[in-house]
Amino acid sequence: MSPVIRRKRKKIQISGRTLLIALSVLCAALMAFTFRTDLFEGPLRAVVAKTVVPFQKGIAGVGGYLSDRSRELARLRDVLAENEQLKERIDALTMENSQLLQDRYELDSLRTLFELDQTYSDYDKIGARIIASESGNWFYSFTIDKGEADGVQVDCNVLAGSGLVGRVVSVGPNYAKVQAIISDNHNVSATVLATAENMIVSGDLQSVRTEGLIRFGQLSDPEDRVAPGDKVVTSDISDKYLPGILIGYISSVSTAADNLTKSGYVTPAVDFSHLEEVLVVTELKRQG
Amino acid sequence: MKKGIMAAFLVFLFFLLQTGVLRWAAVGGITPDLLVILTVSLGFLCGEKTGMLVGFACGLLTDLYAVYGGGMVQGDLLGFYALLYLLTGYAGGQFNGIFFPEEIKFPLLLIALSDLALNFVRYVFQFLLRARLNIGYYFLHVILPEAVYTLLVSLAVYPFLLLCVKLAERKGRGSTE
Repeated sequence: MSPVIRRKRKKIQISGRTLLIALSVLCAALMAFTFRTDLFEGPLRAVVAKTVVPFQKGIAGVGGYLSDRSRELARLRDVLAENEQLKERIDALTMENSQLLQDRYELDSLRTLFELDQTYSDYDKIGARIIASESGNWFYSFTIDKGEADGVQVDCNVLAGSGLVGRVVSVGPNYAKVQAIISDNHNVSATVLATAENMIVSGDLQSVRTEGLIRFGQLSDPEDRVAPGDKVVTSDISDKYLPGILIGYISSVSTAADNLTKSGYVTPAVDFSHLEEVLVVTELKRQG
Repeated sequence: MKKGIMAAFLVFLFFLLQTGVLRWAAVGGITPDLLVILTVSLGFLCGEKTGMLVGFACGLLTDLYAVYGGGMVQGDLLGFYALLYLLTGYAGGQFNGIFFPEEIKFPLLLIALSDLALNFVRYVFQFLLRARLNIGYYFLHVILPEAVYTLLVSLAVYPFLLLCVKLAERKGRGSTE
């Protein structure tokens, strides 16, 4: 009995061209389908969370350890020289610090007066490790090992050190995808602290690759007050980013082609080439 | 059957290497594309059907991890990379049985050309359509370095894949006899 059944099964032969057409149509259908809905995202994310993510977490743990150790060895000599310089700076900074402490005391009392005690050190943050990067060399995005279960939501801001890294663009149960501000398709509404003028900071593959800078544009500065070195932070009117997070420093300013606004480049505050751990702000910007 | 299990295992392994390990092996910010090596090699060694299925799987995994942002390709889209890698696998499969698999030059050339073509399509859909017109820059600083790096890596990876395929074929024949 059984050989008959088997022989029948073997008769089903799909030619290569049929398979090509079938899979191509499937891809096209998937693209059309997921263009607006995210019906498949849920189940697929659950599968990824169970299969791929645990392995990636393991690899990231081992790899992170190894790269940390190798970097430590390579940088030991630099660090010794740097240590001398830093000691001198500590003396200078201690002086400055005592002055600043006095200022801060005054600031604190003024702030309580104005009830403006919310700066970004008050936001709830959780640490996360980068476990995977996007394959390919066109965009800068990566996957972190915290997800919905840890309180991460879409549009959560992501920081590293004191600077802005990017924001969460999609979340799985135990992982989240983060898009970096240096990614070519990313724009942030920003403010130059010196003049309090708003502008748009956008990632740019070309300038990031050549000089490590990102572009800015639409800055209104008729009196030429913005100069290289000025601090750039996220603006109050951004609908995704919490206000006052450091993006970087102005690197160069030039008049834009429209002769009305200025454009130029910003040096990001975060070193994106050596990013291993990030902080996720679990608070979202309040809207509406 | 054995070949199928092996292919699935290789896809999983190469995807983990690509996303998890290779970011530490970036040279000048450029990483090679292991998934192209896998897709083209298996297409070349085992035929167009294997190539297509492997490419489809690789592409779908990449889709799940990609953040789309520009040109015609936006949002949480599935299927864009799946289609690209599927076609890559099909193209690789067209040369199955024509050349000796041990002769390494031709498959390496095929891998490098596939990588160039794939990245050119990515450039067109995700950069050119957002008016990033400086194609010379992107070709010299992204597309070409990646192809060269991928070519160098495949020098080591292709013989490994050849060995895997031979082992699977030998075992497969043994079990049916």
